[in-house]
Amino acid sequence: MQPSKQKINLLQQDLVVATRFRHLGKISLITTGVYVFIVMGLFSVLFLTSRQKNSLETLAAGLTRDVQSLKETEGLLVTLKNRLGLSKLILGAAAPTPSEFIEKQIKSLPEGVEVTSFKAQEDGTITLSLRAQNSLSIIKFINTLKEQNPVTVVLNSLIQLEDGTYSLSVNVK
Amino acid sequence: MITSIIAKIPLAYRSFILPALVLVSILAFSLTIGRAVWEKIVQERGVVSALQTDNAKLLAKKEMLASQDNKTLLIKTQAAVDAIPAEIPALPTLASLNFLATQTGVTVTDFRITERKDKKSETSYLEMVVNFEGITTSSLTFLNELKNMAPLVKVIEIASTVQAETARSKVTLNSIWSPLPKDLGKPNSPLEPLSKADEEVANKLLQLKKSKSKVAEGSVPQGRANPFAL
Repeated sequence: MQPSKQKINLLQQDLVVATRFRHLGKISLITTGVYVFIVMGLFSVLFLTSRQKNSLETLAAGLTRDVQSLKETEGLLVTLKNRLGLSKLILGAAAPTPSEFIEKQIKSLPEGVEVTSFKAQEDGTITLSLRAQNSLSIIKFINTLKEQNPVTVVLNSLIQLEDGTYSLSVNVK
Repeated sequence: MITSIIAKIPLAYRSFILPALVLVSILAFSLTIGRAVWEKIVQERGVVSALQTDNAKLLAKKEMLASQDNKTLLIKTQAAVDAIPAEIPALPTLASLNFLATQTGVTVTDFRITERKDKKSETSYLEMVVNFEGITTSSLTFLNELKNMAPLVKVIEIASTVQAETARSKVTLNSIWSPLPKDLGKPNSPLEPLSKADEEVANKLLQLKKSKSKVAEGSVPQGRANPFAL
């Protein structure tokens, strides 16, 4: 049986350790250098940021003063915008207005037809009551009304009166 | 004491005491001061970023306000406040209705005014029921002109009977009012200029017809050069 090979270190124990960790000193110095560099960097960034903050604060104070000196204009603009918003609620109503629509119908009535009453409601329904001399003028009137492109035309009533004329009522919406 | 501690360390490891202490110091620094400095930087960057945003808003607002013509703005605002008054518009509305009736040749025979409140929007409004009579064309002109008078009114209902070219009509109108804005908010709060649609409405309000009677003028705030200054 042959003896197995074995490494024998004849150096002193402290030298063995020193050899094993011989780079540790250098590494710690380099690490310290890098850390010092990072720390300097951090403080430089902090310094520059603080300086930028101060200059921005000065600028903000100046701009605030400028804006406040225009307070009167701002007040007018705020008031105007507020009133315009409210005005739109009223002016935003459908065009033409019911009265404009009624006026247009009355002006374009066929011969022999006259308005006896009209009514316009908030929901947009317009009721026209008319008296017509003959049925032909009623047809003409209805056709003219349909040409105005209203959404719906509903004939509420059509009555022949004793004198031979017709009374009719239509809803337009 | 330190000497006794060092004496306990094997001779072979003594040369590593200093580097080990340096490493420990660095780690301690990283965890305490370094972290604090980093947090401070992050905090300052946040403040800087907020200041930059604020300054951009302030600059935009300043430029926008400086570009406005105060005189024109005052005229438009006056017209807008005439259209939507700050106080109950009963008297100015009546004065304008009367003025309009005279102009169009109809006669106001009766009127009724009631203050109401919209349950949904909590806004107050005046409900006015006006009875008038005149020839049909004049009555229709009167009704058509209602949309061109100040204070603004919304036509709710029209009922009219025509007999021998004379119309007897009843019109129900709503008229609103609202207190003027009381504060402007923060200086850096954004403020948009008038849009094209706003300009159109403002120009429309300038065209509104208004009674020149003393009754109507009495409702306009007086005593200051700019009644809308906040």
